Amino acid sequence: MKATHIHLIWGTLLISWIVYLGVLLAEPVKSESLLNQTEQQGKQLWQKHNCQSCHQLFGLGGYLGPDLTSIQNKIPNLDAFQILVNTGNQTMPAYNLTPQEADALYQFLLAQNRPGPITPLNHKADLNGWISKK
Amino acid sequence: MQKSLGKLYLIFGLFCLILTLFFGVMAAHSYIIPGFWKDLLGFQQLRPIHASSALFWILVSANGLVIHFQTKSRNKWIDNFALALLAIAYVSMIIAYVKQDFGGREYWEAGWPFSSLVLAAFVLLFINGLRFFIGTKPRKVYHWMWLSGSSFLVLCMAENFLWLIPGIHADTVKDLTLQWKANGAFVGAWNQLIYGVSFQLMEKIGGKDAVVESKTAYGMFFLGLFNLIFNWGHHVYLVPTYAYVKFIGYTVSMTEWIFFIRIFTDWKKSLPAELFKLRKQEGTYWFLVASETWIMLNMGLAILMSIPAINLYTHGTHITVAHSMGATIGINSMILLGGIWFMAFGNKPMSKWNRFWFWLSQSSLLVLWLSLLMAGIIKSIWNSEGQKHAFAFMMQQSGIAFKLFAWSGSLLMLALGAIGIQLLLKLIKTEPKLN
Ligand code: HEM
Repeated sequence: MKATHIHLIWGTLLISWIVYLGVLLAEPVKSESLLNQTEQQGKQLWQKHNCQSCHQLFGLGGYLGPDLTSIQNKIPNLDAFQILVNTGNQTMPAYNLTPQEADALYQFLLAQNRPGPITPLNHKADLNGWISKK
Repeated sequence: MQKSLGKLYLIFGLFCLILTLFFGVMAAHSYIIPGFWKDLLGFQQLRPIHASSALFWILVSANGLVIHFQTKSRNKWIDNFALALLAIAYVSMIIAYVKQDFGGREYWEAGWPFSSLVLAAFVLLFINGLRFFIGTKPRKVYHWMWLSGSSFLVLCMAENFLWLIPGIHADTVKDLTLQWKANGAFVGAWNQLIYGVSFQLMEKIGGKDAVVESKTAYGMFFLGLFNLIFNWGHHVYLVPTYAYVKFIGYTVSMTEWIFFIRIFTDWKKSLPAELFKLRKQEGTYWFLVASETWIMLNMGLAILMSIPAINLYTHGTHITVAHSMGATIGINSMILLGGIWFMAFGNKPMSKWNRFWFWLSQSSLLVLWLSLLMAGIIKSIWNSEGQKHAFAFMMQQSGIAFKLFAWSGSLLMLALGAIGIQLLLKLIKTEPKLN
């Protein structure tokens, strides 16, 4: 294969990478996906305690514990959440979170549900391989 | 005699492999013994120790082999400095995990200052790789693969830091989209380095010179690069992200059928009876045949998982782990072991024991892969039924799959550990030939 052709294709692909990243960065923020101050603090706690090693958000993360995208279906209120994170269970360690930290973390998890999770319950598989809302 | 600059990288890489295996088996036991080691090293520590060790094994060894084969124009000090940065990053990350000092993101959980050392090392390796590339003519397809791999390792690693920008951190959808763009393409980048090594090995052990020079080889290389840039969208089908990302991800992922069919026909060709007899004794040949077989199995699985209608059920289950571990062990690790084997033992016949360890590794990996698929299918059914039973009940139902996973993982640790330790000792004791 001619060297100039290789340079041309390689260069085009590299530029495509840059353009694609630029397009994504320029996307306007969707209101339901924007976190407020407390939720952002919760997100930092999520990272600090590495909750993602066992839990998933939108199906991404570790698999030992349940997905927490729709947390209110599993843990309906802050009190129950605080008890769980501070006492742990057979598999999960106990974290010493202050009430304010527990609240921030819970708010962050509630915020995940705002854009709405995509699950087999609310979506269906189409014949062309695509999925659509039920 | 000119010394191999890659040797120290490979010693470090093999050391990471041994730790990967040990901590993987420990992490797997958390599934069958609830609360296993919870107060000493819990799953939240074991998983990152295991996954980061796996990443270091792959990244450090892939770069080590590339450096070993790039015998000119590289600056020794740059390579050594990059290795020192990688070693400091690895050791400090493991210490941070043990101390539960997290704050980073998946696969780089120890916070950005630690991963910035890795980025700095990649920049240095890219500079040295570029020096080699400029000083090499005529260039072959694997030289282009190595250049692409080292450039995209820098770009994707840098992309991994975008969440530090407050506007991105605050935007759930953009943040997740960019994170999985970076992670997906990062794997594509190390694959470029590793497939380049595999081409180089095929040329060295003979028989495939024509393939390496062919237009098809370039075609496949460009298709691989195209997929690296665009196919990561299949990670985020179930994230409420921009529709075009999913559409591009789906469309581009389907071009992988071309690889799949091609690899299948090549694989069949690589097994004619005379070649089989001739190469029966050589370790490198066997590791490469193993990797081709695993490419086929994993690519088949990956293509199916890239169809949104199937991904809807498999996403967030152990089917994803089957894919990622199947690829990192079956494909990446087999090519890397083949390359290191070539450096350490050349074309020397494989001993009886080594043939035993090799076949034990393949059979235990197959059971491990199938057990993960089984656990994934159980969870997919649970998801499709609207999770009507408790999570703990579903995990209990998967008990036999997890037992198989932990047991086959232990055998895999034994087999790959035996091969890895031999290679490690051989590299420590002798100076590999530069040929
Ligand atoms: C060369 C050897 C290995 C490599 C390269 C490797 C690679 C990986 C990778 C990349 C992940 C992350 C998966 C993901 O996020 O989707 C992972 C997870 C894991 N691996 Fe391995 N692995 C190896 C050996 C083992 C062994 C021998 C075991 C023992 C059974 C094991 C057990 C695990 C466990 C328990 C997880 C976590 C899965 C979860 O989140 O539930 N690994 N491994």
